[in-house]
Amino acid sequence: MYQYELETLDRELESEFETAVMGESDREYEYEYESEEFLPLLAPVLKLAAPMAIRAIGGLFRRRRRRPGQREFEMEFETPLNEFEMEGEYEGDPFIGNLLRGLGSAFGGDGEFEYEFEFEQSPEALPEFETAPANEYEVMAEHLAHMAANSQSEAEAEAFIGALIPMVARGLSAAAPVISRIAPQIIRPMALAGRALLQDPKTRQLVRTFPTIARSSMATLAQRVAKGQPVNARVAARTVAGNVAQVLGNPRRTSAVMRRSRQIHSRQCNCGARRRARL
Amino acid sequence: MLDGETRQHELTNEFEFESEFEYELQNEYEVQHEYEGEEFLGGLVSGAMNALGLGEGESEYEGEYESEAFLSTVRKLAGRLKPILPKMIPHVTRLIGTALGGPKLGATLGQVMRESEYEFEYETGGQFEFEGELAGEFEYETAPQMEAVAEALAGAAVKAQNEAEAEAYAGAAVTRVLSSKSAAVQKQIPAIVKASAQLTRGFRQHPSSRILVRTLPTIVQRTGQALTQKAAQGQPITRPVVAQVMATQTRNTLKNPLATAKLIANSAKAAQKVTQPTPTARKKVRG
Repeated sequence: MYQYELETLDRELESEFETAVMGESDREYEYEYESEEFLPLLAPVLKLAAPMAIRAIGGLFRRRRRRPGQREFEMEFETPLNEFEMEGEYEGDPFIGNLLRGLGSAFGGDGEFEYEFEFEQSPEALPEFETAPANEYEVMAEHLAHMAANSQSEAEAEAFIGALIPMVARGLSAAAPVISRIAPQIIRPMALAGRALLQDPKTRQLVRTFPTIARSSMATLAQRVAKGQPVNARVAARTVAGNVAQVLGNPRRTSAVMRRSRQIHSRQCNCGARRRARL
Repeated sequence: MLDGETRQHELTNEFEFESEFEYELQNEYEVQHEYEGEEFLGGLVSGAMNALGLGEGESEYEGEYESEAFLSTVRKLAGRLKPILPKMIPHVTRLIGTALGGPKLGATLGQVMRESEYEFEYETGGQFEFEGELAGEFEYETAPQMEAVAEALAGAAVKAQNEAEAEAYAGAAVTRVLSSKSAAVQKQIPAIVKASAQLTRGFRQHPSSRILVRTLPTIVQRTGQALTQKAAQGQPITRPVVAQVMATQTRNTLKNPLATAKLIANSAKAAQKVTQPTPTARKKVRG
């Protein structure tokens, strides 16, 4: 029937896929942030990106009511998209406000980023990036993050961000039953943070840190469940925000996470990234 | 399985979430109300959705899934889906083809599905023979239940405020149900996610067809199974093949309104297992 057409398209697509995944403008930012010598360049980007992502997550805590006669699509234009660019004091959740103030002082020149983190970080929350081997789910999660960073539309990027979360959850097999329960909780804050970062080509590549952020958030939440503490949407959003601050609030850590992401993706993923990296 | 504590957490989460973001649900029902006058699903859908456990009155319908009331709701929903599905199938298969192979493949798949519309019309042309068809449908009950979390994620995608958020939930549901061990199929997971995002977008384009997002986990699971079979037979799994298989599975899932309605009902039922509060906690909240 249309088998012949499909086969022809197949051949065309094999080559198209290799090039179309990544636009030229994105390629220039792809490896820039990974090298130590580019840390001074990364810091101003993170100064912009980290508060933007956390503020986006903080948008979840803001109560919004539809005005009489206002339609659903009209609300979408009001918030949270425009909140990303809002300057000034954040007035939603106090924990998010504290994170934003901490980021402000960290990037303001006070040295190492510090903030009071309400949730204890589990030992596996932020692993040794250089040494830990990647399992197949981690490789797929990195690939999905790569696809999100280079996707053509915001909605498609969020589909990839959403998809990488169950992959990360599967990779954390030790606490699988608990993790599979809490994984959906972090989809919304991660999607919001991703949407904020995808607004700007300079910050778009930072989406590649999301598998690490998701992994550390799930590990923290799993520990919380193990201690018998409640895990709800608010706690999940705060945990994700805290881990975004941990990773994106420190240029050195961001650089290490992105380097590891690229290593996993280019060495182990079978999608043609290795060939592109060589080129 | 859920232990009591985790369920308790789920419950706390559920109600906090509802109070914090209650406008979302409000939007859902208000939007449905707004579109009552249109030729697609009217106010009846909100009744059907309530009966399916998607609305406020869900607790009233506990344990009634197999009752006559439930079956009549499924019939009503099937009746409402009947005019939508023949239009929806070529539309969403075109979107799948375009996402994975560009407009050319999209047009080809859309055309093929449109051509098969005659067969479809023949299949659903007359009045439903409810008794016989439903009896047949209940044989489906023996099939393994879809993973509840994936169904809950699909439910969240139905209720999501905007496309991007809906696609995030849909993406999560997709990777949740795709459990193929085949390397060739795993390599195509991003392609399946991409196609599913388009499928979700296609379903959500009109409030009346939004509920079809609940069929996504089934479509993806069947696609994964079909691709695994092909890979086991040594056939190459490429993106056009994924598009072809996914389009076929979409058509097969949506071709019968009654089966689709039953699938949506079962999806809501499975998702409810995830979000259903424990009896003690429920009592506490009511009190």
